[in-house]
Amino acid sequence: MKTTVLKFFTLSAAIFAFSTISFGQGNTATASGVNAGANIITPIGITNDEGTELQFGDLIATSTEYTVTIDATSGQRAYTGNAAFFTETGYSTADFTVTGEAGAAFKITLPADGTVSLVSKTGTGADMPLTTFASSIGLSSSLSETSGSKTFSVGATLTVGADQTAGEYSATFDVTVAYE
Amino acid sequence: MKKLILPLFFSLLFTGFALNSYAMDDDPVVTATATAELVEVLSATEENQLNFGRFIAGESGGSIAIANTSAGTVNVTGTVATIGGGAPSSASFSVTGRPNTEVTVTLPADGAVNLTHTTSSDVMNIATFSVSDSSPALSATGVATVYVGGTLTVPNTEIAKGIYTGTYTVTFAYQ
Repeated sequence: MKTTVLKFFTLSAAIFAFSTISFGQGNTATASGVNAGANIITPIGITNDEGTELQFGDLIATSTEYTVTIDATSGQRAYTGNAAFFTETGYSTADFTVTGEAGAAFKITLPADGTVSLVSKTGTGADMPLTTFASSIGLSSSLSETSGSKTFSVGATLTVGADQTAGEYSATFDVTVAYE
Repeated sequence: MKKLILPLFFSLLFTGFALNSYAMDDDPVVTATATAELVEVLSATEENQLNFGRFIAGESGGSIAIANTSAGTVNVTGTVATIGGGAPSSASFSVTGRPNTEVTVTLPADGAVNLTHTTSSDVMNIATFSVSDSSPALSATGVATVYVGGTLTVPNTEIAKGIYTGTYTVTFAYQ
């Protein structure tokens, strides 16, 4: 599809050049309208930085529900309720790199609440919902004027149920970018 | 001149098509992973109660110490004398949690625990709590047993006779 599109552009641009010159003498209004069509923009893309996962670390199940939040900006782990951490390390944000047209504005779409839950790998524990996904640069930003890229981190809040079954839990989530 | 108009129309047509093609492309999406590990709740139960047995205070009192071992050996000082049938015992606690991890044990501070007479207000203090292992390792099946002993201070003979009871707190935590 991309190849096809490129061909169309090339053809389109070539004809413009021709028609612009021809018309230049007689109809400048048409010519100026034509120029806008030749503006080709580098497609926007996003990658999940190698080895970065949204990790909440080792948590201890307690008799009451609690939440653990990985802060997108600071990367720190915070909690509410009767949270208990088995280790003080092993948590992290998921990091992403966006590439595209230098200086272009783009928006980020993160999973909505209620769409992602960590699932027990052994199938023995209840799902743990992930909510309040957040980006370290907000949901609107711009690509670097020089490099045409931008990196950001994503955090979220995990709700651990009362007497949550011990074991490993994981999930995948989608992050989407688009030019604004 | 008329011939040149046609290419222009084509051009506009193509442009419109090309732009539309880009607009229809799905926005790029990347899938990332989120993980967490839930560790077993650490729990402890008292299997045996700390019991100083049955004794006579004597003229000037003294102390009774229970060793932090399974046997819970009794050691008396002063004029205190033990009497048979009291079933003195160290306390034993069964701890369960994540296999192959160490836990820390926190005992009551000296002066914090008293045994109170069942009918009068007389009290006897327990101090120098000790545990058989202050950082026991949970086994491959996630269990460990520790023994707690202490020293009971017995005042002189004027203290009320009878049964004295009290409670204390032992805290276990992952290291």
